[in-house]
Formats: sequence, C-alpha cells, structure tokens
Amino acid sequence: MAWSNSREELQRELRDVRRDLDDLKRALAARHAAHARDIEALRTKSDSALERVLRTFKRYAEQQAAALERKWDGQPHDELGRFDFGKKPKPELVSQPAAMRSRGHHYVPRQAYKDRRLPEDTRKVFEQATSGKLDDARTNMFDNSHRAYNKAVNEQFDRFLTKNNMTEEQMTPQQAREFLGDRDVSRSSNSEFQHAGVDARNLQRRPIPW
Amino acid sequence: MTDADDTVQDTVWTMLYDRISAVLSRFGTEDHFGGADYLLVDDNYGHRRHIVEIHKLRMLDPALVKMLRMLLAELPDWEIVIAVDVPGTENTWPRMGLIIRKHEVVDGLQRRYLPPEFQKVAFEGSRTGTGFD
Repeated sequence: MAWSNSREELQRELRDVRRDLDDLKRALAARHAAHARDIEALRTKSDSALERVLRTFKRYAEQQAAALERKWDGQPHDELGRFDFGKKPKPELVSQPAAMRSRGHHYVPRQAYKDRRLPEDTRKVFEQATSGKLDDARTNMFDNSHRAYNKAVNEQFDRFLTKNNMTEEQMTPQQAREFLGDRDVSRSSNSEFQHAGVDARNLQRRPIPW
Repeated sequence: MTDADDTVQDTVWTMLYDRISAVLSRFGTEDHFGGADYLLVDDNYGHRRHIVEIHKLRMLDPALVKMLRMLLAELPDWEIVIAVDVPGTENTWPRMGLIIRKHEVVDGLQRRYLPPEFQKVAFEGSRTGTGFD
C-alpha cells in the first residue's frame, strides 16, 4: 500500500515537472519569437534608411557630376566627378562578416593577416585572439589611430616571419600563438595606438588567452 | 547588457557596418594603413558606436555626414564617430572630429589647424562640442 502511494506521488511529481518544463519551453519560444521580430523590424527600418540615403546620394552625385561636367568639359571621371584613372568605386553593399568575428579588439588586426596566405587553422588563431567586449571608458572619441597600430603590427608580423625564416604558408597555429604571446601586440604597440573608448590600459588588463 | 541585448547589438552593429561601408565607398577609398581616404573600424567592441578615421580631409564632406546621419534615423542611441587622422599631422594637430547622432552632429573640428578651404565647412544640425560629448 505504502509502495503504491509512493509510486502515485512520484508520477504526480513527474507530471508536474513535465508541465513546468512545457511552460518554460513555451515561454522561451515566445521570447525568442519576440526577439526575432524586434531584430527583423530594425532590419526593415535600417533598409529603408539606407534606401533613402542611396536616393539622396544619387541626387548628390548627379548634381556633382553636372557641375563637373560643366567645369571639366566632359573629361573622363567617376560618378563623384573625380578622375578615376580606370578605377571605379565599388557601389555594391559590403557584406564583410565583421561582427561574425570574435567580439572585441583584435590583437592582430584583420588587415594585417587577411591578405596573407596563411593556413586556415593559423588564421583562426588570429581571428579568435581578441580582448573580448570592452568597457565603454568614454575617453576622447577622436583619440584614434588604427592605421598606426595596423602598420606597427603588420611590420612586426613581417619581422616575425623573417626571424623564424618561414613563409606565410608555413606558419602553424602554434607559431601564431607564439607571435601573439612573444610580442603582446596590443601592449607593444600602445605608443602608436590610442582607441576611442578603448583605453590602452583596458587592453593591458585583458591577457591574451594562452 | 543581457545576452539578448548583446545579440541585438551584434546584429545592428553588422547591419550598420555594411551600410556605413556602402555610403563611405561612394565618397572615397578605404585603406587600413593610411594610404587612401579613410578606414572604418571593423572590430566590434560592444558599444553602440561605429568609428571612421579619415586620412584625407576631403572626407569632411557635409553630404557624407548628412547621409551617415540618415542611416541613424531609426537608431537613436547609436553614433558614428568621424576622427580626423591625417598622416603627417600626428604631432602638430590636436585630436578632432565629429560625432554623428540621430538628433545632432557634435562638431569637434578645430578649424584653425585646417587648411583655409576646410575652415568654413559646416554640417547641418551641428553644435560645437568635443570628443567627450
């Protein structure tokens, strides 16, 4: 009798747990759906904003071109009126998967390795070597010089290859980690680099994850 | 920020990055080493902000600023920072630039350092300010 009661009680508890779980699943599904709707609404609005911008740009470009046409008497130039020397601006949307990459400051900027003939696994090491999300330190937002930082790291990259007597194709993931570890790129280049909202001290507090 | 906020930030950041990139490419050429007109920072630090560093002053075009601002029409809490970083002026010019928001443009240009042809440049809906605004 006691065994039977205990079994019924257990079954009742199981039913309760299942019901709670179902409720939770429904609540989560509803939350995800709402979230997806919010993002979709933002995307639609942003698309409309871009369309308006492109329409405005078209008018602007036509005005500029008309003015320059008069000024330069029909000499070849690009759609902005600049002489293009055979190089056309890229009008298409850029779909670089920028934010698909790891979040935060990349110790080795993408520009320093994207055109190098690195093995995929090695490339991934640089892709994932970031500071992670940064605090918004609200320093002077004009304190920027990514170009100087990019240049400094790029030169370090070349020196590393030379020092180790290897080609880009030969660089292993382990060597990529050594490059990051030997020369804490963000630290060694701080003198050339000040970020808007990314205090160099903020970067120093976040070690490279190996 | 919660995880959901982070996901929205990621999505909007990417969306806006592509749109800013599309607009900028109509006004100049990008080079991340300072060899052309500008660079658009392609790291997402987790802020509601994009940063453009301009290497040629001709990128201080009111039409460009207006179009970038239009991109923020539905994003009232986002901003686009235009930082002036002309190679060769590092030790002679102070840091300066613009902050573009939906409702305003913070003009932090220090015109006395700029060549005469850029000293009178004006931006619709702007107010004088600094990089800390």
